[in-house]
Amino acid sequence: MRSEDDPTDSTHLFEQTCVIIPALNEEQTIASVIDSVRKGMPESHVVVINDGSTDSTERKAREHGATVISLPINIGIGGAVQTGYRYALTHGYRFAMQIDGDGQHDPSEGRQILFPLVENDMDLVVGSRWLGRGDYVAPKGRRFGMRILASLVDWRTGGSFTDTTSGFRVVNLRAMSFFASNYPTDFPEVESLVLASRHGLKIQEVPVKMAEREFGRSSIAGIRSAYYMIRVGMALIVGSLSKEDS
Amino acid sequence: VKSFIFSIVISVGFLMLTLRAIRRRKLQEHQSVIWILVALGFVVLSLLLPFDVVGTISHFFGIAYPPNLILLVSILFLIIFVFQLSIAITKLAARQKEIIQMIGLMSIERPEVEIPGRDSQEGFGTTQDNEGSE
Repeated sequence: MRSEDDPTDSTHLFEQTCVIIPALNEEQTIASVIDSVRKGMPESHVVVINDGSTDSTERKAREHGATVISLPINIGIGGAVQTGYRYALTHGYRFAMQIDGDGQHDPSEGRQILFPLVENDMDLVVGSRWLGRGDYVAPKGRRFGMRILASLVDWRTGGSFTDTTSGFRVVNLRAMSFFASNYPTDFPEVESLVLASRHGLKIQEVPVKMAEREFGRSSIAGIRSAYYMIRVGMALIVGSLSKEDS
Repeated sequence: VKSFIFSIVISVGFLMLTLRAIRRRKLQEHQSVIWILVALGFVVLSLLLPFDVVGTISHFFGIAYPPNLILLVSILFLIIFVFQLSIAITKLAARQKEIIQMIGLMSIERPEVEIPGRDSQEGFGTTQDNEGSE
């Protein structure tokens, strides 16, 4: 049994955690994602950022007990996640966890990715599908692309990342308030790592399971992936040129 | 003489178009100043056509074929102008994102504010019982 003031007690951690689920037309999966978050982290507060969905995402999310922030116009996942950070910040949460609305991530692992925040004093913890947990398989080309992305990010940050496009991550108050006013919009997952690292935030990857997307296509899939890589590369270089505004 | 009349007609026409757009408030002040200057520039250039001003200036810059001077100046102007527009769009996009986020966050605090929405005809009033654990 863990005691009340054990800082790593999960009940205690979850109570201070705001789970942010960015969702664009995820009516097929949003309900089960919310349910599994509430099952895996019962004390956490679930916020769905409905990024201008045209289907019943909003209604389903409300019916399953989530707080829903509906954006009147689609602003992209970066802007949506940032909205979540702003919400978490103004509502006094210590941690903000991002989970994709498509069922790719397993909320029962929330505990594992929250842990390093308190135990290792990390600012940002990213769940990686390539660190041995789970049996995620990706087409060769995609996997190759993700390696290149990782080495690009490593080059900009001096770290050693494996899964830079992972949308399963959690931040502490420090990273939360930084991201609330500085969050990239073009390739938010990748760019935010570089941005955070340049800001001096401590980032750690932990192994997680990831499922193939249940519905819909990843924005990285398809023949445009080469073009995507070039644009991300450019964005990272351009991002490094830009001055930090805070 | 034909080309003289032709260019005057075109440049005066352009000036009138600009003024009309300003009167109908289709141009911001800042933008309209630029376009009035451009339009006036056209008019002056056409009026000066018989005096071969362009030829003299080209000669001064060592440009052998005078129309090239006009092309050069036009292209430079366009590049700078498009660049300025690109900056303006970036700024507008950032502001728009900010506003949209704000609207979303405010609709949580004040559920009675209705967002012109998609999915829900019932609006927000019906579903405000989700402000649970805080």
